[in-house]
Amino acid sequence: MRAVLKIISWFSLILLTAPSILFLAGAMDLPAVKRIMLLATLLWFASAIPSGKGAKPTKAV
Amino acid sequence: MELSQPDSAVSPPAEQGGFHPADEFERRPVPESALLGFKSFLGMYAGEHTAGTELMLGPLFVAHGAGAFDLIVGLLVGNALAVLSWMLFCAPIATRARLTLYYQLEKICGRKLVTTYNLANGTMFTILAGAMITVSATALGVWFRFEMPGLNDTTPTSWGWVAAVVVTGLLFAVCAAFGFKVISRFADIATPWMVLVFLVFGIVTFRRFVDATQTEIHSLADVWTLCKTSIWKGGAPLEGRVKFTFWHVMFFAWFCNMAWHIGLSDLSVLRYARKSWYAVASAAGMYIGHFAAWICAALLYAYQLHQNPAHSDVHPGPMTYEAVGLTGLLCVVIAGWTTANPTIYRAGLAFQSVIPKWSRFSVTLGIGLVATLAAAVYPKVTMRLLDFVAIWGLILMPMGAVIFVDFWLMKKFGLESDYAEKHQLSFHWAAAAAWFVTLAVCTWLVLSGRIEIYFVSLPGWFMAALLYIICSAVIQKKAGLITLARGKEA
Repeated sequence: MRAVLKIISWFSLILLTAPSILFLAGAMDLPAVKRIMLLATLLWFASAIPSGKGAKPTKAV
Repeated sequence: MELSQPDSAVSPPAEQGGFHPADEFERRPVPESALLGFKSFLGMYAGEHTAGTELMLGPLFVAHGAGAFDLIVGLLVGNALAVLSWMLFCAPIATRARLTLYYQLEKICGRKLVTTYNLANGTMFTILAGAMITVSATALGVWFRFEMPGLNDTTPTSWGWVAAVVVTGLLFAVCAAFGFKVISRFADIATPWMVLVFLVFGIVTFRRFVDATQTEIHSLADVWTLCKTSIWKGGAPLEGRVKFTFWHVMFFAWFCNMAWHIGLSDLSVLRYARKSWYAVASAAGMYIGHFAAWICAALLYAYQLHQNPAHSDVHPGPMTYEAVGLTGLLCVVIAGWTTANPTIYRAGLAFQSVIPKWSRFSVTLGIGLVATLAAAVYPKVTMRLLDFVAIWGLILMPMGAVIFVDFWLMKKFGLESDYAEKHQLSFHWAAAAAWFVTLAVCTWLVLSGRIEIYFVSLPGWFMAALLYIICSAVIQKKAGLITLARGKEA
């Protein structure tokens, strides 16, 4: 389960950035970018929190 | 701006009940078994320098009229100097002494002077937390459409704004007091997402510039031409702002975290590093947060000015909403929240070390309320964030010079190091004179118009170092210690 969530979280980060690259290339319009980014954001937090990202704080020092 | 979990730089010693996620080695060197690898520092620096305040700092470069070359090359060089400062000033002492800044200062200056240092540090953290609350509150303006303070406003411009700041600030304060650790964990989770959203701000806005200017992009040369002619045109700054040249940008990028590298606050962090060169990890923070994020935030503001030159207000909420919609607003709120959280907490630690009887909860809550009040009634600090950051570096820098001299040079001059510890002093006048006289002279230089705030810390460092050596020599000669030390060497 944890492995699946990790894959989803990585996928969500790709989903977050890819639309802006497509927009830059002129292959997607801005409203679509905004919608997909919001979806990617929800996916990121939904998958990253239970998958234990941040369980080992990177700011430990 | 720099942010992270509270460190020992401002925390009280262990016996006073400091923050203890584990043994923090408050009053002894970090042992070999507790040292950390390079990756720990890479992650920490990359995360902690992408904060809500980047959304204010980037646009302010545009408001100051920085041109494309000045901005980009200035940031590249300035951030490289910042990384070198971590590597050459901070890390060598940190990995040799392996002590917190607090304890190192106490050995040199005595407890009372460290208390004064903590008061200054705590005050600056409180004001910074206020700026973060301000940044997040601008997100509420998108929904409620109240009037927000402009670039040159000193006081609040509407009751709606005051209410938004108070609600945001109270929320942040209560969360920091009740659930600091939970929000810290949430911040760790949010960091990768936040960094990418910052980058998307830049990518999307760049395309919008291309469309708005009808530019044909076929090569990197075309990109550079667009940057020079439409995005960062240089020219006159906005009203009431100093014109930023390459030197302003470079010095600002270098000294933005001066308190941490040359001021040596990061002794508390880098004392855990196995090797001194691990400080190169700070490059991750500098080039993600203080290069890419600032440039992306600057793009947002430059686009707003391009669309309407009269609309010069810096409101991160509306700017990011315009660029990427709700995700942008979430980023503003989360960036402000996750970075205000440790800032409020750190300020609390600093003040609690002065009055240990106060509970951590009440101090943190109190600091949050003060920060909220400051943000609500005096938005000028946020609108002048570049100046505030420069002042912060200036205030704490002299103590970095004192530690540097004490660690490396005192014995070479035949003087005693760690003077307060060896002579059981609570207030070492040599360090105090170096600090206060440097600040007084630097303040006079700035206020009299002889040198700008962005540059004054460089001569200030040498002044503090020289003053500490001279005052130490006078004090130790009076005590008859110089002869003794030379006699021992002979």
